[in-house]
Amino acid sequence: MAAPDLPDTIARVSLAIEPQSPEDGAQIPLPLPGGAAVGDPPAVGSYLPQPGVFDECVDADAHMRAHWRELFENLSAFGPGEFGERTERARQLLHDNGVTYNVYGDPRNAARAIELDLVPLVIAEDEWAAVEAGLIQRARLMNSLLSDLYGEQRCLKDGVLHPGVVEGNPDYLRALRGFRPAGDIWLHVYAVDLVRGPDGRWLVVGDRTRTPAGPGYALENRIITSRSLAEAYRAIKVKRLAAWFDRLRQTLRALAPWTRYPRIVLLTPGPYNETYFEHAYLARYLGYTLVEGNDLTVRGDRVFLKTLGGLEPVDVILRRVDDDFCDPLELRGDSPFGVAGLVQAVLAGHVVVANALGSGLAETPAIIPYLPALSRHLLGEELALPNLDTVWAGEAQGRARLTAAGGNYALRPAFPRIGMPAPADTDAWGHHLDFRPYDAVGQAPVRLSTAPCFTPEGVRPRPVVLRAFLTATEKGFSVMPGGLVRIAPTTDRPILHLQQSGLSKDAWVLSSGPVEQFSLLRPPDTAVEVRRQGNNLPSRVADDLYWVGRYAERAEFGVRALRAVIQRLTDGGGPQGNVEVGPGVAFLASIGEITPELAELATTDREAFDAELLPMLIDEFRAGGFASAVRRLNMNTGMVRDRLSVDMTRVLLHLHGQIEEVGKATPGDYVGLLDCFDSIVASMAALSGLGMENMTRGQAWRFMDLGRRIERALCAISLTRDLIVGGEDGEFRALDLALEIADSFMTYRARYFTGAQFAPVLDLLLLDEANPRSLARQMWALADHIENLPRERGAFGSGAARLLAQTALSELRAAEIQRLAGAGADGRNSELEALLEAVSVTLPELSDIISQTYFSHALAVRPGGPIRTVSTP
Amino acid sequence: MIRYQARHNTVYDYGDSVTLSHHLAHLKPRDSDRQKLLNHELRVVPEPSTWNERVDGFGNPIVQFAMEEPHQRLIVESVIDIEIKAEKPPADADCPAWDVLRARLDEAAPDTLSIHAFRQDSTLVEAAAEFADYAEADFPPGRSIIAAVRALTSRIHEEFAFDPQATTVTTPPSEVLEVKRGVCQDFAHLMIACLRSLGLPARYVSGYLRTTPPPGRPRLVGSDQSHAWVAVWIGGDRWLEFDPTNDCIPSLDHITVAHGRDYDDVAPLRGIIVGGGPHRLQVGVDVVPVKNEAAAKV
Repeated sequence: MAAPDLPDTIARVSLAIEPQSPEDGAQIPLPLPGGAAVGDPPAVGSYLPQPGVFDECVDADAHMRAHWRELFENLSAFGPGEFGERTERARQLLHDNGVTYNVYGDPRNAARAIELDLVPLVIAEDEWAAVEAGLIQRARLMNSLLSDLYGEQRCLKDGVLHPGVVEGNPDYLRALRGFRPAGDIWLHVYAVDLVRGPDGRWLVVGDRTRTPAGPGYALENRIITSRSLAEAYRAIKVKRLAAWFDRLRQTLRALAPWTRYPRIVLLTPGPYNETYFEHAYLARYLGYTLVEGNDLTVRGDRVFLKTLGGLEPVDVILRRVDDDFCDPLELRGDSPFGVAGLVQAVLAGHVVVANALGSGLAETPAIIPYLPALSRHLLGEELALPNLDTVWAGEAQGRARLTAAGGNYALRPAFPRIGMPAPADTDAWGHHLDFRPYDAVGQAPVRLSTAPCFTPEGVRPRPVVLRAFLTATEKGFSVMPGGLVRIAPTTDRPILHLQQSGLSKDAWVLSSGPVEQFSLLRPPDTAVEVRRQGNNLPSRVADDLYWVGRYAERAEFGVRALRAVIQRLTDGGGPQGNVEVGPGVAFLASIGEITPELAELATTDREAFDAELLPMLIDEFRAGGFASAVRRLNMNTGMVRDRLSVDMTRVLLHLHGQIEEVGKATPGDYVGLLDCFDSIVASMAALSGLGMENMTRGQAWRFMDLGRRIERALCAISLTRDLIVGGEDGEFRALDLALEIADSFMTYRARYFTGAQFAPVLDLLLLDEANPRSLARQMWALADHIENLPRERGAFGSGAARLLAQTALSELRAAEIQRLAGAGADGRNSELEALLEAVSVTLPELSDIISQTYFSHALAVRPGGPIRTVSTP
Repeated sequence: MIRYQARHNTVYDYGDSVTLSHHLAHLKPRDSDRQKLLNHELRVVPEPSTWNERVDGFGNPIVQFAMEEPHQRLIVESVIDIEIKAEKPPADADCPAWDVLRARLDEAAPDTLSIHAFRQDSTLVEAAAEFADYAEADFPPGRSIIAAVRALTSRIHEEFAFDPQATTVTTPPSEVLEVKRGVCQDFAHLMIACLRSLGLPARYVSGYLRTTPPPGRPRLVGSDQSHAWVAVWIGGDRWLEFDPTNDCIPSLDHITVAHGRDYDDVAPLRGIIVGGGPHRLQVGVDVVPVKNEAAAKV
């Protein structure tokens, strides 16, 4: 599923830089952190900009630049160590919010946390105004370049741009030749990577026109930084970001003039994509439905979203899928992420895709050397923002310059092709230059400017790269005031891949005027259509939520069982120990929490049992165990992240750490292990509580709870069979254990004031509809859910499901506890067995019918089988 | 000049019902200096719910159609009425040397814009040293492009065995070079890889061969299926075709349908379907010369 060649990296840039020596630098005491100032030991309070490098904060004469003073005055009020504490809290907050960046090829730990440096990059207002003007011009240039290349191709015919940059580019979608997007807007979102050279000039190192990643990370950085440095953020006039996002929303809304309420979706390649966190985050923030290619379908040249209630038209697609992956029919045939027929729907004008299909063409760095001439040709203007010196090896002149530079230029791929050499692989690049020179772009070395960053050693200068974002508006392009600042791990290694360095920071653009106070919450005078949740839940999401419910319940049940049995282990085993240890351990094996071999050891060789127990418990790839259920739970919640509250995400992340704690327990230390399980049970309870209390009773909740109820009913049955009815001779009844696992001990005590007895326990756990964990209660809830599922489609399916659920419920209601508890002449509780059998057969059937009726999108879309051009002699 | 009637029938039988399908067909022949399309009909069963006729990015006519009703069988029938002219290939001496031609690539003359599409990598063909090494012997400095490519065409024909079992539709040219076996599609891809690795623009041509040979001449390989061959740029806006499967320069026996960078650009019929299960595919091609009056009613 993971596609390592997917070019959605936040930057595929790797800049050459000369090693910078820390010697000879003047020591400049900065008044931070924690009030460290002049006179403090240099290790704490000194800041050493590199000679020959532009520092954002300190000038060549070792004076702090004026626009940084306000920030540092503010920070100097912090007590000793306070900045470190706030950094730690911010880190925790990022972790709790699940801000991650996926790393391909690492199945066990696919999500890597993004780290945030709290010291913002401060940018003066007048300086930003100049950068802003340059960025807007560049966006206009890129947009008209795309118009020209998909239209008249004047700049090719007039010889301004080498045709090889276009014709050989895999992002040049020939199917779109002659196409004009709505409003002639190709770039609804556009990003530019900027660096500042030693002379203090900002230089462009690359453009992002395909599916620019990062605005969501920039927003999250702003939210956390402004929260962590609240005093400074209040005191300093910093331009706000929210208005930019609203402009983006207005732009996208205006793309579908044919409807008053356009349905806008955010198309993601899925949870395995590197920046999936951002897709889910933006979808939630902007209020769009997060969809994958399989959630959409094209019928009659129109795009529809498959929902529980049927097909719903889609008007605008904000895509995070690369251009050539968007339609497996007309573009890349092997793409699992696209929608068959999308190109035709776009050409027919029935749907608008943003950025326009084909806009990835302008992203190639091979275009950079031609931009000054293109600007004169297309805009009649001189290019305002200079580029980092860049050459393309696809033409003779560029090759000559690369040769003359003798390896001084850093090579990077010109086009997103599979199997390009690593930047440092000189041999492979040499081969490439011989046979595919058009694939290589060289960029001159640059010494990046540095900015103050908080490190364990104190505040240190670190090289920075700024990604700026623009969005198209009715009045031209609009620049996000600030952006995503990325930091290289060391001074001489300014690597810009997020996979390698996830360290970033906020950028604060100062403002002299009043700060634009804006929130994406609607102003009170805007009329809003009152809506209740309808049947518009995507089928895939319903499917995922159903499994979230099932795995959450499975994990919770497993943990409760483990805790109860381990509790009994503390009393010791064998004849003198707790009599419920034997059946308890056997039950754990029966439900798959431990292996049968390990269960044997519990009563024969306790030491060996203890040694093997912990690794088995935390093995998340061993089917049946609770760690595996938690892993599946995480996978499924990962796919519906935009549907779950931040609190739920936090509990899940916390759970991950708690499982790790289990692995760290001392073998044989049951008390320590119990502590671990107590906290895990509390987390699981928090999760189900959030589901019960914090989710609107719409279809999303119903499908999640449906999954939970089916799983809980299955658990109740195995509990009854293994612990209440017991072995064949009916001897091993572990009634107390069963009550404890089912969390019904208190109820039983309050009701009967006696030790556990067969019939009352059976009644409480099977038939009592007032007990939230009884089997009858689950069947009642299932019947209720099924009654309320959407009926528009598959009336047959929902009818069959209703019948099944009602029948099982009636059978439970009709059962008499004395007859169930009574043994027949053969010593068996045959009536009870028949009842359990009937219900346990019903449950998988119900699950199947629900899947077929509501999740039928699971039918795979696949290529229809190409016809081979073959011939026979 | 010869007039042909060509039929290209495709039948898919699906194991399960197909509930939704989208297709893209490269079945209508393009016009060229060598051929003129007189009539074309494309029949599809079941009746498509959408039907769009367009021209793709290489100037080939295409049809995009979709079926929204469940079906277990798809029939696509293409009937072509076309006129082919004989064109005498230029003399060796009239063509520039291949290395001179390569040096001209950087001049972005308006009439050579599209050649760059056929010089760089495409979906199924990537340039590499192994291909340049293989082709090198036929490309000494200063040799006329037509003489050099003709020699390469003959060598591929001699050294590679025709073997439909040896490769599949996705076999890369590097593997074909290794096993020295394949079908016309493989030979065309291999030859394109060789030419591009030398820095020369080359394109993939898909089409048909005359089914029965004129009296006294052998039947050509690939005559009852779709066929594929190669065109190489010889300067200006001129391209010359070569058929490595039959070691010849296409003339009166070859009908061009479409050209692109490789098979992926011009596959006769592409499809994305929902459902369907396992499928069985039957393809038949029939190309017969017709007298003018007989061809009038297709």
